[in-house]
Amino acid sequence: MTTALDPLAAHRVAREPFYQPRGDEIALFEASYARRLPLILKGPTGCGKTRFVEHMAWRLRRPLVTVACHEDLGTGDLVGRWLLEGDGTRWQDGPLALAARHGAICYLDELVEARANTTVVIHPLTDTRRVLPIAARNEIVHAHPDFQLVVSYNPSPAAAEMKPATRQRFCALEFGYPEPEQEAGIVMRESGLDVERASCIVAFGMRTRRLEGAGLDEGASTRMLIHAAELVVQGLSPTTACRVAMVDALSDDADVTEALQFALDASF
Amino acid sequence: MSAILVAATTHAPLTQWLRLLWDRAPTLCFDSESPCICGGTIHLPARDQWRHHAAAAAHATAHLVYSPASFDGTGLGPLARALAGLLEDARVEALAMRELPGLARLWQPLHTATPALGVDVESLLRRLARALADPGYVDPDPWVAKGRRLFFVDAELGLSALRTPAEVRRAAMLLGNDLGQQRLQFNAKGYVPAPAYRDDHRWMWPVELAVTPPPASGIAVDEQQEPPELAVDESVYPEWDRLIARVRNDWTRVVETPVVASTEAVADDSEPRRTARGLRGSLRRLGEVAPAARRAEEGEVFEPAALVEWRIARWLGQAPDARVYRAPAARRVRAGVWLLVDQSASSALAHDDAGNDQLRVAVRAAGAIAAALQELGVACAIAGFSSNGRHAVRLRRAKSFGERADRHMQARLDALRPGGSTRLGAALRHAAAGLVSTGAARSWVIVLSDADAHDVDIHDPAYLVEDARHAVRVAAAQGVRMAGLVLGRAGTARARRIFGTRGALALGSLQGLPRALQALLR
Repeated sequence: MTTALDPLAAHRVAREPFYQPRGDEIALFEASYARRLPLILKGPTGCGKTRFVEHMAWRLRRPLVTVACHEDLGTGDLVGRWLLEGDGTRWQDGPLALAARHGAICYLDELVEARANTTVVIHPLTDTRRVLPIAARNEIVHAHPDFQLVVSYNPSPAAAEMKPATRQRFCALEFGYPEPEQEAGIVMRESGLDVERASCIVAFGMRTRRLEGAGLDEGASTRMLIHAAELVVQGLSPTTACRVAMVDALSDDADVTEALQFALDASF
Repeated sequence: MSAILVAATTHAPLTQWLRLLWDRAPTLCFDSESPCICGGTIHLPARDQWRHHAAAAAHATAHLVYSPASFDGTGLGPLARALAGLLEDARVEALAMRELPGLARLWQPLHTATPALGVDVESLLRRLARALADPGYVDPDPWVAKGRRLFFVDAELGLSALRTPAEVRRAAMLLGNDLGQQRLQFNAKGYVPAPAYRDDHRWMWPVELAVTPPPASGIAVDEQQEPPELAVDESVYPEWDRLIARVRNDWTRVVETPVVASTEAVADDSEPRRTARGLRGSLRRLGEVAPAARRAEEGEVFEPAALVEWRIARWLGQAPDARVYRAPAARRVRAGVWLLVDQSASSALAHDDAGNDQLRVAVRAAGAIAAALQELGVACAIAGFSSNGRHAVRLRRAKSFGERADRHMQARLDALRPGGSTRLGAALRHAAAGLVSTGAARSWVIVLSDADAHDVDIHDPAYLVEDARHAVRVAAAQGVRMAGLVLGRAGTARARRIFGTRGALALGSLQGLPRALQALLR
């Protein structure tokens, strides 16, 4: 299929992304999608929210349009804008308009990071209207029947609050870090490391989560553990790998880093 | 190799380290001759090496994690008790090392006993301690070998056969009997468990030994001097110790209470309101961002003039300016200001010829600033602060972020009374933490004080000044800026040491407030 025929070709998930279910989240997502209910995925950094959405897009055979939100994200970045071209102007759909027009799952990662006036553009898409007004083009896009909106939100102490007017439009799926055995399984699957060393890395990673709110905003994410395991597979010792992938990456505070380093020394 | 063995002369990260290891955060006091555990608090020798602190703290915390709360000492003589303590030490360390193998590198090198020590009871106890802690240690003594056999079910794996207090007790009695039969004398009074990182086991036998924790360092603080107040918030903060050039973690306790004033109380706030009108200009910039450029390369709406210029440039064959979009307008940012009013005893000093004391001028100024900020839509909180030692830093909240700046607020401000000392750094850290938690994009702490930082438990005049300076620098790194409005002529130099040359100005009278704020909030 060419891009001209399928504007979402680049967003299709060809191969199954590995995802280790922790509970009934797959069934819950499928139920929400069946009714096209917007979803918030809540959970700490690197616990698998994005991977879960990719997996669900593959499972539901829907294209996935992902936007990483940031504080400078304007309405035009989501909806689209006029571009100068040759002697005239050309309209280019933004990712949200693209997904709504052609029927993709639109995943807005860390939505609260976006400016408040940007966030409101999703409101008409998240209620029964299911429309996206594009003021710059004087157009109202009626969402494709396959379109669904999914946003992620990391409710850490450092994060901004999500406004009730936005929050109450969504159903929510809560994510946490997996259980130790599950997490070791994920680390092994993603990195190819053996069970013994993967378990040691996971045990140290879980220790770092004890400093949440007591020196760290968040402990090591599953993603960090996988990075450490990949470095071990690459030939580094577990201690060095954990230092590079976790201890030095988690904090710039000298005391916290020192405590983490000593804890790492005690762990292996 | 291990960073633990690279002795750093610090105990700052110890608390975090213990939390990482076992998710425990026992109180650590560096005030004891030798390590001991009292009521869950770990007392460690002052001015020791990090390696010993780490070893002692990890050992004591292992007791808190793996040991029962106490042992039954009925029928056990002094020697059997010493042996039970030794076996329990080895048991918790074995469990800890199963979980955290690296701890072996911390503890084992501290065991230095050898057969050459001899065969008196103390030496045998030390040799047994080493035999149980160090699998590579070889001791020819049959009693030590028997102890090892009784202790381990699998010495290679570090698996102890002793799982319950009763099993520890039985093994201790067996080993004690053997020594008794050898007619060896045990000096119970002079016995100190070895190596020195191990605690003295006073927690094991709580009934017989009256446990009195050693006095905390510094001057004891009589909390009863303070009237009972309803604490709404209690926090602990670090403090910078300039002598050791380190931060002492969890060193000061800040108790925040609302100001006790009748809910009906109102005060005449006409003077602060008058002053507030003149302040709006000085404070306006707090709620704004710098005006943005008018054109941008990316945007949502074309800037027509820029499009025309772009087209002309193309006709002329020149490189057109790509900034053809209208830049987003300067937007207001969420700002937060915390006003700290020094209500220490010295704030009762006369400030002007009209008979106003420093505190009176400070609360009037704070009231005026709060009223002006309210009109500008900038969140503001006000608290008076004073201290009575590091455990009793009090903040009295006269206005919370959500409350209105009105006559009730002025009444609460007027209810602040002079008393106590000025532990400025702790108050600054509390205010900064409060501002960070609001998520305000632009935060200021403004202190109204004579900047004479002192406290009853500090005798070094530079100590609290340097601590406050440290608090200002840490806050700056978190995006919280701090400034001082200095009451009284003498304090400006001290305040400049704390807040920086441009961060402190003398406040002569309320009339000078607009100009002072304009200069400070640049």
